Amino acid sequence: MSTVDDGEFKIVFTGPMGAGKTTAIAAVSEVAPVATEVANSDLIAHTKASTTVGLDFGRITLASGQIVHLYGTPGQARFRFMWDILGRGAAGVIVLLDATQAGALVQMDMFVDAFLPLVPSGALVIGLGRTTLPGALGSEAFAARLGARGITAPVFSIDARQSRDVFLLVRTLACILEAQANAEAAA
Amino acid sequence: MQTLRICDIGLSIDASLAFHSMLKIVSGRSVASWQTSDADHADVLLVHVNSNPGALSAWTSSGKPAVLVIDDRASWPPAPFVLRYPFRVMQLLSLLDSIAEHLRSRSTRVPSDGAAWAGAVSLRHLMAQTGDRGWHIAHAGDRSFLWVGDGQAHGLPATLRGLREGSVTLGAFSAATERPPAAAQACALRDVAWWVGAHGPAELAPWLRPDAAYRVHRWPDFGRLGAVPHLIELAAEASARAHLPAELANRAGCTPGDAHRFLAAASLAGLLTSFTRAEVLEHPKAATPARGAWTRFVADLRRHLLRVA
Amino acid sequence: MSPNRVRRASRDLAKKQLELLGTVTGVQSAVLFSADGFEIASHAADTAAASRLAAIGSSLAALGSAISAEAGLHEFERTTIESKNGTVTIMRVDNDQAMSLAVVAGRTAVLGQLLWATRHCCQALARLIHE
Repeated sequence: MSTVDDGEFKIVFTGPMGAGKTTAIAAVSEVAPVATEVANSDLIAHTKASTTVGLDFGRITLASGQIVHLYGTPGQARFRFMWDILGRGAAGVIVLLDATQAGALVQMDMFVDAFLPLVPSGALVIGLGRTTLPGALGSEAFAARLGARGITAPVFSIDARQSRDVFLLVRTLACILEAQANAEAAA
Repeated sequence: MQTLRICDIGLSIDASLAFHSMLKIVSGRSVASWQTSDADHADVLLVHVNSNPGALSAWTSSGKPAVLVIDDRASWPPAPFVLRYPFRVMQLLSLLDSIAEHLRSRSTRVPSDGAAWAGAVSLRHLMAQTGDRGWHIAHAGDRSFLWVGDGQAHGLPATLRGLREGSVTLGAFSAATERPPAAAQACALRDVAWWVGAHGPAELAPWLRPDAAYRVHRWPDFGRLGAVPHLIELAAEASARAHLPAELANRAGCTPGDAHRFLAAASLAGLLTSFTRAEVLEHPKAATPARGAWTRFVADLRRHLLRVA
Repeated sequence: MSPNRVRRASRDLAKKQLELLGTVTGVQSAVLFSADGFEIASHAADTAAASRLAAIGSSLAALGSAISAEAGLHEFERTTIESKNGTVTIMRVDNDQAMSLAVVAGRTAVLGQLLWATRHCCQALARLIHE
């Protein structure tokens, strides 16, 4: 992990269109986030006005001077080449999902499959939005789906607009990485 | 980590030498930090079964634990802690861990009279009865109630909020003659179960064992349940691998009480898998936390996030 | 400008413009795409290649806009990727950044001529789509 010795590492926010990746990074970044949003013309996929086609970027600087880079990916599978570019070498990945979308479970599988091979630590946190709306699937369905695949990863019901909730996801990712480092040192 | 002093009396020279060299190996693996001392300052006595019976009975009457060392062919005495010489490191470690846990639970169990666990034990029993279609009711605080039926918990919003925040203590359930009032809200039973455990007594839940290792096979939804400090660290450690309760607290950098509450909550919510001590001892781990650029960095990140959150 | 708001007739006219661009020395293929990476018209690229080029082109255009803004410059105009065997040019078509054009050219292309022809094509495309 030479990037850590250099004082930098990155966390990737990914997930389908409209799950709140750009919003989440803006909610916690200490600098004005870089966004590459453009007008969304695929109103069948999602009714929102704009969508990310390049990357989002934000950062958190620690008291020690080390920097955590937060990258957001485009959500649409057409931009998969950006997933590979952004995901490679990330310390961990946060997948944001919309619990009211019909295909949310399948979407989770797709993003987990795309990103876990790129993240050596395998550190994964799922942030599930809109769980209190009618028709939303509960976090248990997502955790069970991961469990059936042998993945024990946290699935938290969150609001990506709330910095407190986004910090919960990032903090959990950090705890998972620390527990892994402890386990490796003990082995 | 708990520091305990141990004194050996009346052992043969061989047994005493073996004990002292093994204690060095045990150091760093045991749930407690062990030091040798004289008998006056010791917490634990390691004593040959035939040495000075008067001194031994005086010791045990003081309430402090004693380990009886017996010889190869001696019959097993009716005592809680016994070692047969020659013994192996793992036998000594296992015994010392049990004693450390015994001492700790004795110091924390003092206020418990069983009533503190009544609600949790009763809820656990109720959740195990999947075929039971009837309604049950329990006190949740002095003047409010929690109903269980339809596989869900029902209570007034203030009651559910009190359970979530830990300001309300759940009592034991009994069969309900009335249904919940119209103003009651439904809530997932496993969420109530989590809160009851997370805000319960600091001691290890009566249905959990200090010598068993526990692992969470599924994370609790902290977004929905609310995350109080230490719970995320505990869940991360407990999902990485199985830990003895005392080891879990040490690893996550929190008090045994925090770890006990976490285990009770995870167990009540059905998120916990237990392993026997033998399964864990196959892979003994050093207890020193990892140090290195990566660990320091991640720990920095965690502290930073705690500050801003 | 959404691709499904571009009239069929306009698309056909756009394709004609791209074919014209295809006659410039070295030009191998060209794809007109929306800002969010959907193909609107293409020349000499099969469907799969055109949609990939559209997606990557839109990311590059968006990154171009981001870096221009970061540097305090005006709106993104164009970027040219040069490699051993040729070039790819991404150029915005209209002022509201709704569409861009990607042109792939081989080694035989003359860069100045290629950029001039691409600019010319973009102006023509902007006129016919906003008609």
